[in-house]
Amino acid sequence: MRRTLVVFIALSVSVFCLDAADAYLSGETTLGMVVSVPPVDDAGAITKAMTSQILELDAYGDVTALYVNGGLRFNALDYTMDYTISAFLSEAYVDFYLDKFSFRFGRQKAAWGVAEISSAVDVITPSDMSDPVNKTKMGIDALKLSYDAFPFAFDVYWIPVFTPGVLPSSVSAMYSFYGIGLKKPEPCLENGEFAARASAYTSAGDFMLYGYYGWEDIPSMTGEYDRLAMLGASVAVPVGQITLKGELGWYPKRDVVLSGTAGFEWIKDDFTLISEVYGEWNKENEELSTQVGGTVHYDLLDGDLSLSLSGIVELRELDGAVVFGMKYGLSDELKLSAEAVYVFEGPDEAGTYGAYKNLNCARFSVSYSF
Amino acid sequence: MSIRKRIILALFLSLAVISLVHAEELTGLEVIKLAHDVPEPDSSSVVATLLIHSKKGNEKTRQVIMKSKDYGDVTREVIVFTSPKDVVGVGYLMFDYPEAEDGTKKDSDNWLYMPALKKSKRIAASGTDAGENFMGTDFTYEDMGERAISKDTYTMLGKQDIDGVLCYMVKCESIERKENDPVRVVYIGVEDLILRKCEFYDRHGALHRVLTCSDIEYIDGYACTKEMKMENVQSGTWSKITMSDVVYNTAAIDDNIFTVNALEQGRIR
Repeated sequence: MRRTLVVFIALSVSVFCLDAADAYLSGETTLGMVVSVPPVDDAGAITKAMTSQILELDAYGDVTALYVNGGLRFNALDYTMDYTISAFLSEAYVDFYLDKFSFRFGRQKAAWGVAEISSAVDVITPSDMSDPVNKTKMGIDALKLSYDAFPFAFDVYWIPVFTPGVLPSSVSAMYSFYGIGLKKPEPCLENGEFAARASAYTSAGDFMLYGYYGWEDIPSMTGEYDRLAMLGASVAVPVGQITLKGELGWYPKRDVVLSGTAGFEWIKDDFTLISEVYGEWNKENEELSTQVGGTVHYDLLDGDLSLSLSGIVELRELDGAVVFGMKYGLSDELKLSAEAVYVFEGPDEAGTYGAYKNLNCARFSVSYSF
Repeated sequence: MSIRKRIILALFLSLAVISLVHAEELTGLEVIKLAHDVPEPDSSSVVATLLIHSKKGNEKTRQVIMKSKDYGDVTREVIVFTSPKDVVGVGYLMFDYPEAEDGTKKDSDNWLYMPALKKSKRIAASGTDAGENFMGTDFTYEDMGERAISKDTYTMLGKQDIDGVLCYMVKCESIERKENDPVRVVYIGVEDLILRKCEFYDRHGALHRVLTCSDIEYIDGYACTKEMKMENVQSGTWSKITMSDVVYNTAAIDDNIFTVNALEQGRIR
């Protein structure tokens, strides 16, 4: 925690060394709670009670910019840690612009692909899966070089230090139970990760190619992280009022060698509909597994209230998850949100999602931003 | 020809043109064409503050940075939210294509950047949703853009004084009548050909919205309407857009900011 705070403060202070003409500090305080709901055995139990304080610093000059996003978290249920407050640094990077070139150094988040629900190519940053239903992206410590010659754009990443994903607590517990230690790759130059993206933005659509050579974000059964290579492509084509989307990823070092997503997005006034089909081809088992997902989002009361319904079903096991969410803004600063999560097993087998059926819950949060 | 003679000739020609304009009884179409041809800057950068007033009297404020550049065959525009906090960094990039001689218009190219997703996404042409509210205000996307002259028929209704400015009063009727407000009555200044007011009538012919333009300033020789208020007389809501930090035709509006990568990098300040 001390190291994180030092980095945070050092980066914040470094703004004065830039050609910063403007600097803005903002933040968000969130109080959240998760309660188990039936059919979970311990329905009514509070499984999470968290307070977080995020601070954001955004400073920029003519050719440089600094962005820092970090904060503190207090877990009211973390009795074992004696109510320790934990610090986190989500992003902290410096940008440098040189005409069509730009450089970004530091901890940063990135997203690849055009899919909204299940991506076949988004391997650039790992995920925090401690809450499997609500995965969040993690920052990577990287150097990014971009060349922007519109309608073409090229991004190259060098990620010298591997950042593993955060596993669901049940999976972490399983490794501990079997006494399997997680073995990260040695931090040396030859174990660095490399990634590249080439994009073309045309009136007909957006076309992208991806290449990645790094490490799997989650460990194998032996606790080791395997090498990962990926070549991928994505396309987004506007047709009338909808946008058609597709992704394809080839993973030569995985058993699941091919992943693909196809879907569409329709936005009409305050209504958004997204539907996607995701498939994986396992070369070893010669099996195709597919899942269908969808999201409906609707804004009401001039945007003060937003409702969303998302669902995903694995077509082989027929397991899946449904999430209903609502967010209400009492003001521009104060927001209330509630979410109901229902995970269901397949009729014959629990399935990938069904394995998390004990995560059925209701979430509530209040956030104040400034 | 000496410079003095040139200036005298130029002044004489200008006066002659103004006299002709006033002497003739212009048709509605001619007024609209003259207003359409009022010179506009090739590039602009403004900070727009959007005040949204609800029926119950609640008010919300949104602030955006808007930059645009006309490249002849395409106008590129980028809009980035700077407040409130929950939408800071949300950005739109739009490539708008001019109307062809046959009256057809290519769909605009649109991208939306959501900071929470860390990526931009391609969205379908805004032209198909032209009647949609612009950022939750009483303005529509169509109000914010330039309407093709060929889409309407025009009738001169006469002249009327608007806030001390004599204006042409022209009725514009949509040919296709697909819009929510297919009839508009526009009030255009006789002297400067700048829009002062517009009344929007719905498909039943009832007055729906009223736009009033004020605080008109000339910046670098170009007219800038710094305040636009749109009142929805049917719902009782109104919205006001106030422009500040207006800059025209400056080299500071870099070509490199009108790209998807610039949007994702947060380069638009």
